[in-house]
Amino acid sequence: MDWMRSLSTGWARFVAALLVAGGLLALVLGFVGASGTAYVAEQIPYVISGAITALFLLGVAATLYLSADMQEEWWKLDDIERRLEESSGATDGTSSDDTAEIRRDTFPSLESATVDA
Amino acid sequence: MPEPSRPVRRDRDARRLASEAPWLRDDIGPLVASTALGVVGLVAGYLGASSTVDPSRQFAWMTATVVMTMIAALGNALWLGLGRRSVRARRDLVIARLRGDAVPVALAARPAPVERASRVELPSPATPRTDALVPEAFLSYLAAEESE
Repeated sequence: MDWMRSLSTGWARFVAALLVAGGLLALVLGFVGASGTAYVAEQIPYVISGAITALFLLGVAATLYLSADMQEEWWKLDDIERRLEESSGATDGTSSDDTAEIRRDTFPSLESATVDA
Repeated sequence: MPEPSRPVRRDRDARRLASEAPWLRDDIGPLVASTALGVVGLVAGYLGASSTVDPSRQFAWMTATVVMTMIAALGNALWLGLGRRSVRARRDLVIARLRGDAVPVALAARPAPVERASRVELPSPATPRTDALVPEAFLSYLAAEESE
């Protein structure tokens, strides 16, 4: 899935940073515009183009950033599974010394809770 | 939720677990549609509110804009929720394997590694995954979990 891979990490965070900057800019410009007039009829368009637009852009930025995080977590799980397959034969569910090492490296807190093999 | 939708939902969950990302290609549709709706709402709301000096009409435009933005937020939240759910299910499977619990064979094997510049190349798994097996295996895995 090339479309998803390209979505995921570096450029997604870059676009998210741009959106955050754009949102803050919209917020400032909206504030400046709304505070520059005493008429409510002139202030409301600034509320829409400033405050609501800023909220929208910040929300989309958060989605992009969290999506990149989840994609990277997915790749890490991929790598862990592959290492497990290499060390334990992938399908029999048994533990080996290598598997125990991976377990210690990956989930230090899990090691103390692991009782069954 | 109607009964027939559960197998469909489980099938989609299994397909997500077998994919290269926490989402399926179909999942991006609601995200794009709702976000586009939010953009249209913002532009239309601004133009509409600017075209009149009647505050009551301007508030109507602003309310419509807020509603459109909320729809966009809902679509984005749905996207993030789907991703979070997939990652959690995948992580549970990995932890089960690390603990030595029984994991369905078709779920235990992953697709062949994908070329990515930022990743270390790893050898292909000994038993390449057959995607056609995944949904059934995942369904049986879920059924076994529910029966416990």
